[in-house]
Amino acid sequence: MQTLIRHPARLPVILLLALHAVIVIYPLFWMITNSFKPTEEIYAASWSLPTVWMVENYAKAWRGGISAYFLNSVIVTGGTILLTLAISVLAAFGMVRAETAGAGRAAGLVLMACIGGMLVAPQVALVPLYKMMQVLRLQDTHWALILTYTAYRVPITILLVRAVFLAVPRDLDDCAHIDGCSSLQTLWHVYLPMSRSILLTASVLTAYHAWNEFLFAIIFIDSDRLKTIPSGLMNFRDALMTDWGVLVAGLVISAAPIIVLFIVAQRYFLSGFAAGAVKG
Amino acid sequence: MAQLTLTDVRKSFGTLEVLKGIDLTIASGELVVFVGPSGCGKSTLLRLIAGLDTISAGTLDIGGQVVNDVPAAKRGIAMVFQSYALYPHMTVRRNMEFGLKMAGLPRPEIERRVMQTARMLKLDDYLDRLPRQLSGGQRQRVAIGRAITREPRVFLFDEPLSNLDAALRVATRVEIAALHERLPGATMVYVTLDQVEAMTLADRIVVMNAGRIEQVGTPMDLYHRPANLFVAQFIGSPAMNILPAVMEGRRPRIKEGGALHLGLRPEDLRPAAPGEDVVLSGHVTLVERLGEVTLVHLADATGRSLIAKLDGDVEVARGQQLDLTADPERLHLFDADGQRMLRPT
Repeated sequence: MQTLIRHPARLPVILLLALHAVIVIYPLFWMITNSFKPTEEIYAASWSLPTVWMVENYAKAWRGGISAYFLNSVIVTGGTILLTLAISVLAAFGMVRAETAGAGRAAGLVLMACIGGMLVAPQVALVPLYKMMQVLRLQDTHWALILTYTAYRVPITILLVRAVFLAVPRDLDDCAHIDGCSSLQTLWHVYLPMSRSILLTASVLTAYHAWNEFLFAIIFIDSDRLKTIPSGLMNFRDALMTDWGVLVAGLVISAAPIIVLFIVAQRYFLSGFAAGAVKG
Repeated sequence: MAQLTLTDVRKSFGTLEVLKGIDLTIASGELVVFVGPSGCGKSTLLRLIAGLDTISAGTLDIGGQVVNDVPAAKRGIAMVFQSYALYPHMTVRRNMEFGLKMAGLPRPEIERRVMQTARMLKLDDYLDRLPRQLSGGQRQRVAIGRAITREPRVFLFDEPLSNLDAALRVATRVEIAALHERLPGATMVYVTLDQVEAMTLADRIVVMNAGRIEQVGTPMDLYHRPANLFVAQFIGSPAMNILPAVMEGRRPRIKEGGALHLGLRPEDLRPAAPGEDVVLSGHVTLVERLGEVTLVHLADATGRSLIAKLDGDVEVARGQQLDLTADPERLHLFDADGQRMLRPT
């Protein structure tokens, strides 16, 4: 309050942020309260707190298949994070090394390719990707999702990681060289530990994308046992009788890991994102 | 302990030749300082010795072995960087251990070396701190300590004091001098822009310019007997005054248009007493009183700027006409090509 009195010009900004907080928090609040209600109560009093807190909605959702979808999402998200980081880190390191070794033009071409890759909308590539997955016999496997998600996350991750790698002093490279490190050992012992924030940031952003992705998840996966949470939740809808309480409980289970991840990684996430933003 | 021999060492980046044939021998246990203006190639030469850049032509021999193609880690060198180059995510202890671990030394040997060095440099209390928790001086001590733990044959210092403030620079310079005393067998190569560091630390100084060595000698050799105009003006602060001159009999005389160059160090000039030979005169344009000495800037009849370093209490004022003299044996004479001539008598 005292800050506001001293700096009244900040009032519009604070109001805007407060409004944004309401826009973000209220749907979450709605989702959590309704996940404890029976369907009739959701229709009758959607905005009130539950009269009886029905924890069994969560048990029903978990038993009804969410547990399997959850595991599939963990596999796909984990695989995507690992593959995306591995490719991006090696590519960014190669680009930075090429730039310092005077092969800046080649690194520039890769950079252009990265930016180009970010411009391709997933919907545009859907049909060719589907055909490619059929040819490679990857359709209806977790690899179909892992590889596609990785392809879409690699360009932005390379840009973020490269920006941080560029800020690693050249002397540290030289010092590692004198200490007997090969290029990969320099990457492992020097660059990666110094880039923890941005790696965590990239992991969170990749997890957010892979965990919530819906379009490829419903097109590339047919078998119910391989479905991830977003496409699996579709099974909870029934043309005649959808149990909305259970469905919303499933949504909460689906959203919870990413929310927890954001909260836990918040400090690193913010610093990593800022580093990537200003050092590029 | 190793002798370092460079034979016609050249380095080119594309078509640009930055080192144009360096011939130099550094004796085992010697501390040699490379000085020269920015871009003269001294840091490039140090990187070639370290193995961080490849030699375009010529040979580099360390301890009797040509090491042109030997990787940096196997040359038996350790380098202290201007930026300290400490790994920011490792504690002081891990920074000092890292190179030894990579070399595959046994754990007890690593611990012995780290503890011994930490005691020597009084770093015992900081071993578990991260570099960011240390002051600039402490960081540079860690960097030096890391080099010592490697027990190298040759120490390389790349402007190690440039990032320190004036007081720390003096203190760390004294520490490096003490280190040289404590490790008499260690060959040290030190690059700096600061001639005070060069003069105070070096057994010998190598003055470089435009990719070549201009002169190699002891600090006092270079000060008293500069081989050419470049060294004469580079060594000494303020720089030597250079005036055109001719020979009259066996004595040089300042004369406009003369083919020779007469060098007068500012500290060798003093106000001429009545009846004394006047070497040069001019009107005072600026007086800088530094306490111990006074720097007097003059302009002679042609408008040429000159400088004299006089006693701190000398009575002189701006605008005054001042006659200066110098002992004849303090004059330096250079030929038309800028090369030193025999001292005039």
